[in-house]
Amino acid sequence: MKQMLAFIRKEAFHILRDRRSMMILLIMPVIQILLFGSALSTEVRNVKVAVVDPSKDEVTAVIKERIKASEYFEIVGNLDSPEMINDAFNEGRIDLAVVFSSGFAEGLVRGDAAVQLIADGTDPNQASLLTGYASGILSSYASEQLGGMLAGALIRPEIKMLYNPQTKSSYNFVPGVLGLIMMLICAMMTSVSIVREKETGTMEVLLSSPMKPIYIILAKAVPYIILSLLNFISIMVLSVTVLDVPVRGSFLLLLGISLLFILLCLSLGLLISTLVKTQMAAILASGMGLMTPVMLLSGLIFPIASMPGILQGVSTLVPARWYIQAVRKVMIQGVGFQFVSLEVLILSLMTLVLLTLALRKFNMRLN
Amino acid sequence: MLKYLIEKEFKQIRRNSFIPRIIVGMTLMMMLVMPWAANQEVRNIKLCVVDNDKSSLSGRLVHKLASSDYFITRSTAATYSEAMKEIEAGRADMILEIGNGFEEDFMSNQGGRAMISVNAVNAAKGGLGAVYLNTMLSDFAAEIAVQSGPSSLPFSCSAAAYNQAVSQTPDNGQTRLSGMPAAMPASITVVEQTSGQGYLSSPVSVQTLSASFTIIPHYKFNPRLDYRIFMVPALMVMLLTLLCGFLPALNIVSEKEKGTIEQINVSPVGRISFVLAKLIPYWIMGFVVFSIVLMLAWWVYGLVPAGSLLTIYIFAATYILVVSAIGLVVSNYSGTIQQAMFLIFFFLIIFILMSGLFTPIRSMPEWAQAITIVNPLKYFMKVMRMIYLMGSSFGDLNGEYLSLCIFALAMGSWAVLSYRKRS
Repeated sequence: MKQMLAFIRKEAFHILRDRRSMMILLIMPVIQILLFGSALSTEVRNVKVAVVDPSKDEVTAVIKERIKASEYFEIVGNLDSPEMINDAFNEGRIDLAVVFSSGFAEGLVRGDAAVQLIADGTDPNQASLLTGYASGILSSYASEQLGGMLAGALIRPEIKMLYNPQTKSSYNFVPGVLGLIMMLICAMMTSVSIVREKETGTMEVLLSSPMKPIYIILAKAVPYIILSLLNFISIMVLSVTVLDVPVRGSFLLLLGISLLFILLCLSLGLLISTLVKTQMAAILASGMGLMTPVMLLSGLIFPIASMPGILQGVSTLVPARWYIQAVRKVMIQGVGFQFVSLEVLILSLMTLVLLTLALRKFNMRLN
Repeated sequence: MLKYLIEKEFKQIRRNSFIPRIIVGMTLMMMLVMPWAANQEVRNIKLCVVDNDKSSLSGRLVHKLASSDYFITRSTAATYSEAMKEIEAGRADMILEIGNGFEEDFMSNQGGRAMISVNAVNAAKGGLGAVYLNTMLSDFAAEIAVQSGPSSLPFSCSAAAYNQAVSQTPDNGQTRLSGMPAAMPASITVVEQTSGQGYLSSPVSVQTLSASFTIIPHYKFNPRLDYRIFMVPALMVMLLTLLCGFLPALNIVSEKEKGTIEQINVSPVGRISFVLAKLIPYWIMGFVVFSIVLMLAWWVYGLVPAGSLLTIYIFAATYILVVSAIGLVVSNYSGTIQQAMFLIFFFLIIFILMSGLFTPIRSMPEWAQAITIVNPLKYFMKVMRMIYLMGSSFGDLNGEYLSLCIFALAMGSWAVLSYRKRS
């Protein structure tokens, strides 16, 4: 035990000695969570609108006022002809063009008035959302004009946004970024620090000591576990205080799941370290091989349900997917253990498999 | 001298068995796998229906929903609280609760009551889901109304929902509709010109009764609202950034760790030629990878830039210099590979996520938008999408090119200045 403690202290010194890495490790998660918790958002906002209004009558004036008054749109200019729309789009000056037919007010009576909404379709979701908002404004104007005629509605759905009534994007991103950071710190740090000892030759010295190899590895993991927990706590504090993202479920459960995930990441790091020879390779393997799947296949940004079947299958192998899913459930939805038991089971199984593989591959001797 | 230095760099890259593999692997993954994954389209929403009415009308509604592409009506629950359990367990994304006396109210023009509850943890997905379902309901209402003869009253299903949505989000300042805009009351005809995939494409063409106008949505540059067209040009940028930013960052510092940098330091090689010798190989590599990627986009996705290829290359050439120079700066400031790795990760993740790749820049708060001014990725990302989809010309993109040139110059000189022969 005493030996073990000495080894842990040695590892801790390794980390503490490198002030710069230490600072990055503690500050990076803080900056990232603040930045992404508040900056990443898919909300429709600041849409630049150009209006083509050949008739310039009182009806179009009212509608334009409505558009201007909405919090989503700002009218950046009036274009004289539809031909000018192309240029405005090409130069990136506008996101949406509202084109009224000529003689709009009279057309309204005749029944041939039309409004064309030309959206920049490059970003499909944004395009359909913002044309939706715009037609919402137009139709609420129309329904007011029709007044009493609309009294008898056929279906009146009441819409409830569960868990996130203000529809903030940060509710979705905070659990995701948490998973990303844990992966980054635990898996990469351990793999690099073990390979580093191999590369510099100090591993040989360690292995010739009376400590069993398994304890050497354990001692390496302990400081990183502590570091990850510190990060976990700082992220939690920030999300609750600064980003207003609630912890609705049990904090202990959240902590437990996170510990499990940390363990999993450490095993993954250990496995990588047994497979590669140089630090460079360890970084590239854990960096590119782990980060990209986490960013793309874990549901952090892209909904898994929309992916083709094969990729959905692949995503079940990405540990972060299950972790992020569980954190969302516990933290945002506030459900109890029985609802995340599947995720916990999968994470435990993955940890077990990875750890066994890693320990098997871990060479007692250096060749 | 520069020639020999560059030769040395190439030998080092080639001899390292890992780097070529990473380059090939990343390229294939980015171009062949990612475009399928990077899809924010909302589909396959798991719907749970609670039918309190159990009338023939509600039965027809459930049947209609079950046959829709957007929804998977996997489960029905007897009560709302049971349905909530389905949501909590992740087996359902949204609940439609059909109110008691739905058919009766509907037929007597009282308005059939229903409640849509969406899991809005992912706000965009929840919002779009609510919009789809709402559109389906008004569609259904229209169908029934048409069938039951011309005597039926006008309907404003979604208008009611729209107004309610506004009143339902009372929270100060934060009040947003968030994806519940589909107010398309009877008086408005929505004509779909292009077969889009957005929710407006499910044609809610309701006949007009009185004074009315037609709303015609049109999606420019991407009429079918295909997500892949949007993502592929951006993923090319991401690939270049990862390869040409990451590898140089680890380059100088790994020479430091191995000690081979000492030999350069005692040689008469100057700062500028040293940095150039480090930059040029990545520049050439980036060029080759970029060309392959352009070909892949054409072969696999049939995607050719609407604008000029030359403009794309001019931008790419400048951009690779910028990212490689950033990598070298990081490398110069780091003592160990580990430090370099953390620094470059820190910057790259911020650069990538704040570039508008996944979430639109205009949705960011003002201060975050201000930060993106110093993000070179943002400019190239925007340029690639504009050239590929909109066919913007070089003249339209002057400002962006100027910004990239400034970055290249600034980062290049920084890389030269931060390289010190003395440790």
